[in-house]
Amino acid sequence: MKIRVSILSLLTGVAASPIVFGAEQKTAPKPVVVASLSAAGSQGASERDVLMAKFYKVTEVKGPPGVDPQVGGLCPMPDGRMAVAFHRGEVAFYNPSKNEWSIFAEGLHEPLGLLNEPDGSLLVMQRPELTRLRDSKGTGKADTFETVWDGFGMTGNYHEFAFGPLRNAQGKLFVGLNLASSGDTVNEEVRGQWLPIGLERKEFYGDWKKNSKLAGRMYSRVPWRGWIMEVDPTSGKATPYASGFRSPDGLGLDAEGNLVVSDNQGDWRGSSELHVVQKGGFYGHPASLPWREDWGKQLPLEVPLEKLNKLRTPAAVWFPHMSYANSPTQMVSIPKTPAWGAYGGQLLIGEMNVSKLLRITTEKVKGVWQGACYPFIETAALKPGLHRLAFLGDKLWLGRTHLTWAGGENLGVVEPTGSVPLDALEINLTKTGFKVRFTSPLSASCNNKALWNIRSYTYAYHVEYGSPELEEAWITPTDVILTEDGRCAELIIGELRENFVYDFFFDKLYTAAGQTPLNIRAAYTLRKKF
Amino acid sequence: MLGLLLSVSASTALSQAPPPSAGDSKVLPVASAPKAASTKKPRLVTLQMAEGLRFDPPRLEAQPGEVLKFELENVDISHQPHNFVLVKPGQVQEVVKLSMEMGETGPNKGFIPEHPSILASSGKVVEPDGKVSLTFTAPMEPGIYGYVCSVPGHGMVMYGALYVGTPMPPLAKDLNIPQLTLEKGLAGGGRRPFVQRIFMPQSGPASIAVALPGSLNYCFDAGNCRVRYVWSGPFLDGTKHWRGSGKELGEMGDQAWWRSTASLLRFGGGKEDPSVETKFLGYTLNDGLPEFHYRIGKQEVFQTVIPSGKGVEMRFRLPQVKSKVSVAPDGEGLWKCPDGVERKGVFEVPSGKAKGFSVFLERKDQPPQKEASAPTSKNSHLHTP
Repeated sequence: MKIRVSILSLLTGVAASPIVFGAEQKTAPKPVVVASLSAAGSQGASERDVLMAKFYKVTEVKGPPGVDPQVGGLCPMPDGRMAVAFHRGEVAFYNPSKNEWSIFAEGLHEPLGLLNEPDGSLLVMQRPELTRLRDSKGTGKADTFETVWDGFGMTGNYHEFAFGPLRNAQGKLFVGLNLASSGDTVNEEVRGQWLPIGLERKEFYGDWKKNSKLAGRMYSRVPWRGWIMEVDPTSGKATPYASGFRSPDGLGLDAEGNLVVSDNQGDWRGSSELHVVQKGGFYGHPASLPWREDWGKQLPLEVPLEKLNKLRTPAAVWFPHMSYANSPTQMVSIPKTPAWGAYGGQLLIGEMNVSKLLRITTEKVKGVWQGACYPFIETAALKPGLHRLAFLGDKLWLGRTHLTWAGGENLGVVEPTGSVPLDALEINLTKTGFKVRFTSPLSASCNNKALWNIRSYTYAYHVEYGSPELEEAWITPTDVILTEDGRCAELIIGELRENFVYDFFFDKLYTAAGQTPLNIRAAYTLRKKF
Repeated sequence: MLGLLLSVSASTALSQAPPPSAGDSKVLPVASAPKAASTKKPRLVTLQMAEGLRFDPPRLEAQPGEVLKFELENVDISHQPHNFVLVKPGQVQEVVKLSMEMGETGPNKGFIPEHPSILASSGKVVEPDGKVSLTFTAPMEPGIYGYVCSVPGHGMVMYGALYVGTPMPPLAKDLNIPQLTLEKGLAGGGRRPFVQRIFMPQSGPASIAVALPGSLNYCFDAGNCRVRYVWSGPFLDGTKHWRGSGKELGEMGDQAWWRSTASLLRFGGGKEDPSVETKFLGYTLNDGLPEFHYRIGKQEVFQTVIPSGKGVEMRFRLPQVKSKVSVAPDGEGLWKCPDGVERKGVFEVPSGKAKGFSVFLERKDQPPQKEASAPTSKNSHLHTP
């Protein structure tokens, strides 16, 4: 989470939202929309909102009466109800068929994730611990609050949020632990072993305005801050899994079961990122490094960039700041059902600052994960603050929050109407450029290379907050080859640059019937060439 | 566009609003708003932009044609930029939507779109700790004019209402303002018993506040597995903690009258071994009352706290205990342990009773109870002519 909106973030837009947190949005140029799709809408709705409504229906669900309606966790239940965790500590079930809420538990501390277990119990990640909630007497209310894992440190710093749990196919749980922010100091009493590497403890209780600059913008002074941890749900035994995170609000599994984690633009994060996470990996933010077994006494802020670059795995996907996302949130896999059609199996991710959902695809090139993000559903009806995502059947549930940052409240439900838009479905790297698949056939005349524009740029990896877009270049393919069915375009690009974003503009494309793309951009992060 | 005409710190009348007229029969007097329409000196109104996406106050009132000088102060301790946009009745969401569509022009324009419904604005974002003043004349047409922060992502939550020549409904029923910003975060809404995990003063970060039936409350620290303190009276106000991002602590209804310095229980004879590790295992609720479950070293302990007389009874269950347990009274209080034998200030609970025993803690030096009727009668005497 970004908390301090500094001058830099103002220059680039708005401060990121913190839980997740962060980024402001540039709106892409409005697509030229064919008349049949831009029929005059209701008063006040923009052309784009009207267009989006042709493809996606968004409805609203209010939180239970008397409950602060900021959502920290969503979990679809096998009986068709939705379990929802709220900001002040309530967990409630919503029964969509009866439009009824029932409170299951109360009094938790900032729950930010929910997961049901086969025996009917619910796991909840709250600030201080991973807890199992159980209704042992069948009253409909939790009466047992079992601590599954609390073996991580807490300094009392507000930014030490705890995210998860996520369960993989092997039944292991993953949780993400935020770094502390220099936006505040630490409590007198902390939980867990204090790390002696870094600003002296006593300085944390001195002039914080001055000393905060010496602590590091984000810091990890108690165990496992900045780490993804693997937790055994039965024994409660936790194993450090991967390090280098800043604010890992989103933990998800892709369709193949790989662990994916999102992180927010900030220090050491030129733009917001998606990581495909492997055990033992280091994902860029150095504050967490001293908790590695093999670490000596080196200050994380004094590690030479060269060494960090050797240790780290760069993000598989950058979410270009402002233009794609400010503060991307949680990933969820789109169900492989007729309702979601060709999008089935791809990842979705929410966004805090803007009313927008993105899709993500990843692929492995020469052993390196990389991929693309695609604006997917963008309409005022979604509202901002799209913090938690979950599918209940074919319906996509959105839980909103804001805390002190940009965002929203209550819940939204999205369902496809059945109409299929023209969208770039997936971008893959080829030996000579890119292959772009579409949801509908393009007009044969789209093989005109002047219709294809790509902007490439990169981001700096550095201690500063965020990064401008660097080394920008506009590219027009040297050749465009459309497949016979018009659904796939192969773009031949002269020279490809590794560690660059390829930001595609599809606004000039159209189908034979004159339909233009619903979303006109997609950004591929090229890490490794063939 | 009007909003842009209203430059910062400039006194500007709204061109749309006709000049105030004394004989305008449509202008109804509003009892609680100053009658400023006739005076040229602007009335000063301070409006703060506060943590948790809030305007404080969430609503204001004015006379038609009244000249107001707004002092807009960004006091948001989470260091967010905010702006202020005053719009015609019913237009808040439209302006919010337009601000979201400003794209890359947004930052330069303070995320304030151009729209005829905008009557006044801060003209730019008000930086954290910054101030902007703005003078304008309230419209002549009575109505409920919304104000909003249109910084992207703020406007769905951060808005308020300026009542111009229109009576205000009771605060709790005012649908023109975000009700959440009004709510006091009284944990459990006053219900007892109630358990609330939250950051607490003078305790570890994994604290659990408990409201007991009656009027007692205590704080259990899940980090070192002991009751940290007990207080009487109102339970806990979490407003500041909850409307922020967690920087602030929960606020107790009164000072603690007892605090612990160490665990009450000792095993294997006497002194506390600081190397003994504690492990929190959770709690169960019985009619809402928590029984905490933890380990001290290898010893499994269940602990319930219930009200008793002028203090509390701490009930311990140690199902696997095989030897005697020592209970070391701690802090200011009167202690009893009927199941133990006192020896040098420590209660020894024999192994035969150690599976389940109670320790009673009573408040020491209670302030002398005043007779409830005395002050009332005194006051009534004084106020009776």
